[in-house]
Amino acid sequence: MKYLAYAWLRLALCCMLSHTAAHAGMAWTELAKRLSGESGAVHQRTIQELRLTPGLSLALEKLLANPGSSPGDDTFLAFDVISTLRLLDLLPALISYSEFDSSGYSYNAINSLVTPGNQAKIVALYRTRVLADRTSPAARMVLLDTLARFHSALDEKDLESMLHDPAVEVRATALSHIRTFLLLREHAEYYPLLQIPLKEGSPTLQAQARALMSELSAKPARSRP
Amino acid sequence: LKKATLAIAFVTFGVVAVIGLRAPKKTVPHEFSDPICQQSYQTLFGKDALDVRLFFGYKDARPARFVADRYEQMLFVQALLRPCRKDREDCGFAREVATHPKGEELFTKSIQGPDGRSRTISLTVTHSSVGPDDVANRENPFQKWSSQFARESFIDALKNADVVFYNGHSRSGGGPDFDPPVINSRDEVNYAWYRIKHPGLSVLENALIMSKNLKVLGLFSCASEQLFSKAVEKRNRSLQLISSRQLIYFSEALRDSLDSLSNLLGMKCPVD
Repeated sequence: MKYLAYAWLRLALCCMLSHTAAHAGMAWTELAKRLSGESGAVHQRTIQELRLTPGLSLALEKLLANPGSSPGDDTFLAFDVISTLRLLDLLPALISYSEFDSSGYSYNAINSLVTPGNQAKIVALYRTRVLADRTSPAARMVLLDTLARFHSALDEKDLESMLHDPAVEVRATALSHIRTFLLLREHAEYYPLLQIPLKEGSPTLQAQARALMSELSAKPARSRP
Repeated sequence: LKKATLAIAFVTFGVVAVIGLRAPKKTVPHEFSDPICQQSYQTLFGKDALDVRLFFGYKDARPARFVADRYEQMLFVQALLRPCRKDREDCGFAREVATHPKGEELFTKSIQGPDGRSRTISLTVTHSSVGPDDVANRENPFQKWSSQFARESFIDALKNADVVFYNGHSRSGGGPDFDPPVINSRDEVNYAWYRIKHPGLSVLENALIMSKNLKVLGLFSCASEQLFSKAVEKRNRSLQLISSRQLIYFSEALRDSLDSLSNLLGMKCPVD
């Protein structure tokens, strides 16, 4: 009887998940799903098919013309397509969208469109957005990671504030940002900040801070990539 | 007269406040459309607290270097912390404080169980990667710690929790996986290795043998039905397995995880 009861519950849960199978989007969305989790050959073929899809840029731009909404599956797929095909024409639409994107995923798409010509402008935008009150925790994480990748160090006071963020995930990302520069033996003024997660952090954040301390004492300075 | 009226008003509000605090909450049993479904939820909510644990595996995105599980966890957490809309239960959670032994990755809320009594939901969320770049993660000593922490927490959850969700890669049957992937000479995920070694599945099977409380296991990963369901059912026939029959996109897996959590806590049955 117990097994039968569980079988019923299982059926209930499976039925409620059936919308996944019933996903019916435009052709490009089906193609876009093949950009991840498939072999290299499928990936390459998918890129070719997407390039030949008529009206693709227009469809993507239309999706991005709705700032303020949480991204749905199609919007996430649009980010993947823009990144993979490097559709630079859509950069302005992405930048507008990203201001209100609580997922932060639009910033990942923007990152794939960074060129030597637009990098300084994008970094400046990110430095403003990462400190903005309305930036969601998820978006702040992406921005912190990206600024570290572009070797754009944040001000010590701003990082100190982020090490007190209500979201432990943001604090962990701020610590990763600090790690990037301390391993390069840059921004020695960051050292005192390590005391914050060591003293006040969750167990996982403390472990991350301890790992960094040990890394700093054991490793020679790295050169910039 | 004014003073006297004011005093009475204070007493009245005081009494109301005390009554409001001390009066037991009205217990209204949940109405089920089906007795078998009801029995399932009575078993699931048999104790005063429900231990739910969600894991994000190492979510690399080859051929790109991007690793997404930290970001996906944050999206999940943002959903947990938002106020609840009608008919949703994957929301309204409060984050624990840093000094809690389980840390701030623990989220709690109270709901009414099938008998109308209050139940505490303890939900722990764990991710695997330390950064968004697979190449950098492999060079970061903390990645080993993070992967091991996630794997050991997953094993502990299978042994002791009531509900466990895994949201990550299936690795062609070699998952669940909390580590950077094993790659071949072409810098692709070495699926052949995973199909032979089954490292994650072995961990899962061994832990399931020792599970004491586990009632629901959700595997929100590609084709988990074909890849894992037989092995899971062999180890624990009474276990509820939520699985996927096909390749799933990350946002679908994320939404399915939230929907399943909401349905479980909302005690949904097929006809609801």
